Amino acid sequence: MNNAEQPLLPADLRGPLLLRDRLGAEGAFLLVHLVKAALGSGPPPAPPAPAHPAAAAAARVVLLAAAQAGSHYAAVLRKGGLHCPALVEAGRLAIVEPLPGQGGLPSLRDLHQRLAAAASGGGGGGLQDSGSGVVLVADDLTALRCLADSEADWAAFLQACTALGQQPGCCFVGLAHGDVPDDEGWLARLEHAASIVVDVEPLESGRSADTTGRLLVTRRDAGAAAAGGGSGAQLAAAAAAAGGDSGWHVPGSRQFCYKLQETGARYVAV
Amino acid sequence: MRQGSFVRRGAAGAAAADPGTRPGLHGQTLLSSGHPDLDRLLGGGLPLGSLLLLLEDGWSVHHATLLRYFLAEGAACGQSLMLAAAPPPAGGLAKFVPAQAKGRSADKDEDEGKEQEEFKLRIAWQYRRYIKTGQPGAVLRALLQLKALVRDRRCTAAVSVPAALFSQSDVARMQHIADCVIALESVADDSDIVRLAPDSASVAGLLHLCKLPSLGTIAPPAPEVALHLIRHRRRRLAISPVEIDPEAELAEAEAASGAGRSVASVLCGGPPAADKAMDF
Repeated sequence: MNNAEQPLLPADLRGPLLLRDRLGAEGAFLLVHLVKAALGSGPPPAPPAPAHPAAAAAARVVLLAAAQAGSHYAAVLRKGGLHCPALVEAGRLAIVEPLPGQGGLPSLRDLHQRLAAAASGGGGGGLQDSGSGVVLVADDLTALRCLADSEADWAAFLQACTALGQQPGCCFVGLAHGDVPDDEGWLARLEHAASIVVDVEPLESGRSADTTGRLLVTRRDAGAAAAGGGSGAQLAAAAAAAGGDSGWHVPGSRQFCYKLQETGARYVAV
Repeated sequence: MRQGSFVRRGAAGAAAADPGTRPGLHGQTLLSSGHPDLDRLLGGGLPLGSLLLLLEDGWSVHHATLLRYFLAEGAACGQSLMLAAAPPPAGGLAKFVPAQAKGRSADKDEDEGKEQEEFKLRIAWQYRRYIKTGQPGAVLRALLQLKALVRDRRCTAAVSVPAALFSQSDVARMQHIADCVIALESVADDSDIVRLAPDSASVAGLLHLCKLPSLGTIAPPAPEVALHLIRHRRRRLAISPVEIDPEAELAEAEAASGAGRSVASVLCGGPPAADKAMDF
């Protein structure tokens, strides 16, 4: 449940979104929050109505399940109130499992083609071309990195995913682990290209009864209001007039504490 | 080989569980690791479809002992076993697993062919072969492939890896890939933790519980105690939380200084030359 005054993430999810966690402070729970928000069954937006109704409408979600099996996500989403079989049948959710139960590991090129096909509704994922936005969720990028034959191969895959997420109405969400020193290079590039970066951090004193960890949410772009250009003051005025998420149309950082529960997480702005 | 410590009561009308399994939380089915103390740390056992990673220590063989427990439990429960190791243990799987595992059930499993998907399969894997070929990236791919093989199937895999031979990045990646991670560490006899632990003579090493399985849950649970002592008991290993005796160091210092008297006895015991018959 979010703090109604300060939502965890802006309603207009667009572009690349980087979730960065570490061992001991895993961020996979954020994927549930994002999938619920993208499918329109998350917590109601803070009143008044968001600035971009099209963005807040139910979107299609393509989940690239590399870290866990599809059954794991179905179980977790069911606890969050989402019925995966019905969503898949309705064409609103597609789970792409890149790791085959038998045989060799796929190449990143083949994986990207499957992802693009699922996003465009051309087949494979079974999505219907409803004209609504598409949210691509990759769990997780560190595991997918192991499939790359070379640095260039991985850079090309990341670039393709980032470009796919920058298309109109699309969003690319990538979960990566920030405690792998050799991955700092491509993580830095992805962070530079991302519109929103969420860092999951453990508390210095360890978990407590009320708090599991800490989130640092950084908005790096000015959101849809800046698409037509404008200064920071103009953006803030436009945001106030549109009645959207207060402050989320201006780049900046927000800190939250989160508490994990059986069906999700509670967030409290710090 | 006895089962883990968990015993389900009642369930007279419930469907009979597969031998060697027990129901767990979040709809999981658990397999015993073969060691009751380790089962307790893992929340009852290893979930089916999970991958356990053992980070070896170069100065001890506890990883091999835990793998033996794991395979022996499977053999005792009549499950199919597979051991991949380089070099292979002398005498093969039958020698690697303790003697109690030999019996009709083990022979029956060997005769049942390779229809592993129909049986609960335990896989124990050692990655030394990949290290000799100088392909650390191959280890990660193999680990990912193994995880893809076991997930959503009625089997569980345990993998031991010599962490000191890999880079910090590769060890971190392996920990993220695995569902459950246990790191083993040897300790010197004169280390502080051994000196301050009760019954220090039995301490054989440390066990770090780095990551617990999170299949079907939103996030992995945090271990209540992350650091445990491995002790040599009579004929088995024991795993217990680290306990420090706060007065052990004081007693040791007094014994070393030759004082032999506590602070309380000095303050309340009267003059040293007092008649003990009159000493209250």
